[in-house]
Amino acid sequence: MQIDRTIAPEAHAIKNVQLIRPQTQVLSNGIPFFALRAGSQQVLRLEFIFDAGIRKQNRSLIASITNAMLVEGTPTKTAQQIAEMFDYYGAFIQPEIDNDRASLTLHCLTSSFAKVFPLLKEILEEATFPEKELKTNLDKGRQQFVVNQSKVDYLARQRFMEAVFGMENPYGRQTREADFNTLSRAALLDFHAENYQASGLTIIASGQFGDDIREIIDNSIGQWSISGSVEKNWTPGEYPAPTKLFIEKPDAIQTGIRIGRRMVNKTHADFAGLQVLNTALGGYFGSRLMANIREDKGYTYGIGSAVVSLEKEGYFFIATEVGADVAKDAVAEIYKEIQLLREKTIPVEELQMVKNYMLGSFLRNSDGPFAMADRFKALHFYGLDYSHYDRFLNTVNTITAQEIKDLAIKYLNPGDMTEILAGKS
Amino acid sequence: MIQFERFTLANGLRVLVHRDESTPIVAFNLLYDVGARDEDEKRTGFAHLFEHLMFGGSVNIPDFDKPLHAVGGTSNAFTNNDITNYYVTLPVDNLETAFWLDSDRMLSLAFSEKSLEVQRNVVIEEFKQRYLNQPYGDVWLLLRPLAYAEHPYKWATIGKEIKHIEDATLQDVRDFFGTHYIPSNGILCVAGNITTEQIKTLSEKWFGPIPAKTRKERKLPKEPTQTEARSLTVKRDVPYPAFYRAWHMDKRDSESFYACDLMSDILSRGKSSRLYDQLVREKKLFSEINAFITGDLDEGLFVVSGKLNEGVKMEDAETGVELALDELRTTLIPENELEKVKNKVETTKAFNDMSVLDKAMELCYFELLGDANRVNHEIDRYKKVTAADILKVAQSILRKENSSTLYYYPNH
Repeated sequence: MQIDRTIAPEAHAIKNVQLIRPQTQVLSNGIPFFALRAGSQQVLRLEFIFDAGIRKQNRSLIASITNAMLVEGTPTKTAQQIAEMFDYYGAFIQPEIDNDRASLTLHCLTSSFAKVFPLLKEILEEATFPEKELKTNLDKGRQQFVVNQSKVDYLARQRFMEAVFGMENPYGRQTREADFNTLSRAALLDFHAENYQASGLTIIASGQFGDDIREIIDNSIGQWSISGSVEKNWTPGEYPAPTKLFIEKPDAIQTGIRIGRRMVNKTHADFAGLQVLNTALGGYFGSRLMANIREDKGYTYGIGSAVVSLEKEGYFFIATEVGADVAKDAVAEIYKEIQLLREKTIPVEELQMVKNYMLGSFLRNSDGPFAMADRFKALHFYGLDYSHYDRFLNTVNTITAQEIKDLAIKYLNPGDMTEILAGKS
Repeated sequence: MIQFERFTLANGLRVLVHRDESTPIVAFNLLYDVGARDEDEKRTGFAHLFEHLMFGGSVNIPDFDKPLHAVGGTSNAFTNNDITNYYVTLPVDNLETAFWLDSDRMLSLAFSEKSLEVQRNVVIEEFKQRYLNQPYGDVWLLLRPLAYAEHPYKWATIGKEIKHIEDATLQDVRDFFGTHYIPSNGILCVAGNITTEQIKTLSEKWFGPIPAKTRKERKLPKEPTQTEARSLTVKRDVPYPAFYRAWHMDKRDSESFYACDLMSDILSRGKSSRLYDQLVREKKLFSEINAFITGDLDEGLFVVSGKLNEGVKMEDAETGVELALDELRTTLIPENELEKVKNKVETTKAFNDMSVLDKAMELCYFELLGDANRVNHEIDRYKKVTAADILKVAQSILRKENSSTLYYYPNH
């Protein structure tokens, strides 16, 4: 039987995913505990998430170093002993921080949980932030920072956030090398006392586990006393006007490019549509930016764009590294692609491809217990519920080419863009 | 335990099927038994350049990615010194699209001049972005030819130099395809909510008609035993000195491989590891330090690499490393320390086995090693390693005459 290989197999509509939602099991003292059971492996991910992200700091570095040093000492254990114990039980303990939240995450075989929890509890209650470990962390951090200064993509990224949000805005304020010399242990202790409070804690467990997990946690952390929360007013400062900057890096053979602007976040009605627009422009391998600047011109190894939601802000950016000799041409092509989306409606076939790609991605990124817990987290801290995803999927399914063009006209005005280049002029 | 079934098509394509009913996503992983080690020394970087061209359209389908995106799928690939691995994930209902696309590019490529020209540029930009325009980015371009005199591991997957990529012709592309992209060089694994019957039918339909071709026997030069320590000193535009030392170890399919892997974990896995504790935390010689194995199929390397702390002298850093290694060479590691690194391997494995794509990749890889079922027994081989085994590999491998050292200094 001869098959006609020029004809694609029949395509089937992409089904909606059944997201497993966590059970809410508030601890005795009111700390929210969410349990999401899914998957076939007997593994557990347990996240202690504090309202102690980078946005809460009033000087740079303090949030991330405080977070990193949670596991570096208690009154009875050194950093080495703590690491040794987690490692011995095959468990992974990871301090993690982003712009909005700081967390301590445990990954372990479910059977090991009871053995490692006492140490986790000790860290949460009695971290001591030893001077010696602080020095090691600052030295390490400073060297990494200095190394990063020779990377054009890093330079462009750092300056971009500063240029878009401003130095007064906690999302915009960037680290300087001198910051590594002035951070004191006392400052860490203050930041910790103020921001790692029971009132700002959320616990999320995902994987396969029994009810004993919550019980063990409730017997200790559920007994913490809770004082009033200290939600400070959001003070974004003044937003700078769009700007164009060139960071000189004389020996660079590639130029780092970052172009973008402040934008609405996921609580805004336009956000889902903007995600469709962004996907078409630079959000996947088949995007217009990739098709033009990589696959047609060969200027770069990769180019992409994203709409990013932060709890208090949002932004949009395009990022790439291109050969130094074609940097100008690449920038011109980027604006050309933006203009095209503002001037012409996107062809039906392309729009359908973008939509199906996004529906497939939604499915892919909802697969397994941890991905589903991430889906929950992405709603929870914005005060959204699961109907947000219904609206998102509905927008993806129904948005028209005209609506996408309208969004491009409204949000992608080249005059609103901040443009940062780092490389050889 | 990863259950699977396997069959082989008449043309030699090996197919593995793993059923996982819990997910709406299916993984389609196709490994080709070809890597940078199969390249001509005068045309390096070709296996990887070729991987790029595999996305530039095939004989009956002008574009690989568009039809895949249109059914909710996505795809990527990687090349290393040993293998080239292509993978697709998509909603299980649309699985046949992956068979259609990947079988057509095994049948034949479009071989377009335009695609070659563009991908040459893309790969050259990748070369710059990852190896030349990054601080410490050229380390492997330097360390490989230092450590290997004969074996093709002496060049990096990206290639020895940009010129080799610039010089690639369409005829080179055709030849490479004809030699290596043949059914008997492929191992396919499909993992997801599917049945073996279904995969048999789809495999026969799409891959079955591709003509069989004889595999060219692989004859790689064996790396001669190193008898003298080698070193290279370079200066680059970086802020801090760095230290790299590599020792030859046994091939992937050897008993000592597992002891070497655990030995690297003892040295640098996690913050309780020896090198981190002694050299970063206590003596403050390094800001970061790592020990790892390259894990290559042929005889690979055991590597220690680290960036020196500001103001630290190279000889002090080097002495620090060797002192830590002396401990391994002279003293049995305590049982609980061995237990620790084994536990870590076990947890890592449990977390790995959660995604259909990871499982499909692992099954293909172990099938290449001889038997996909080894994926389920690797952990036993790690568990069997004793403190005496580690002492033995430390003594036999971590020897001066077996080492190659790269001293990497700032320009000023």
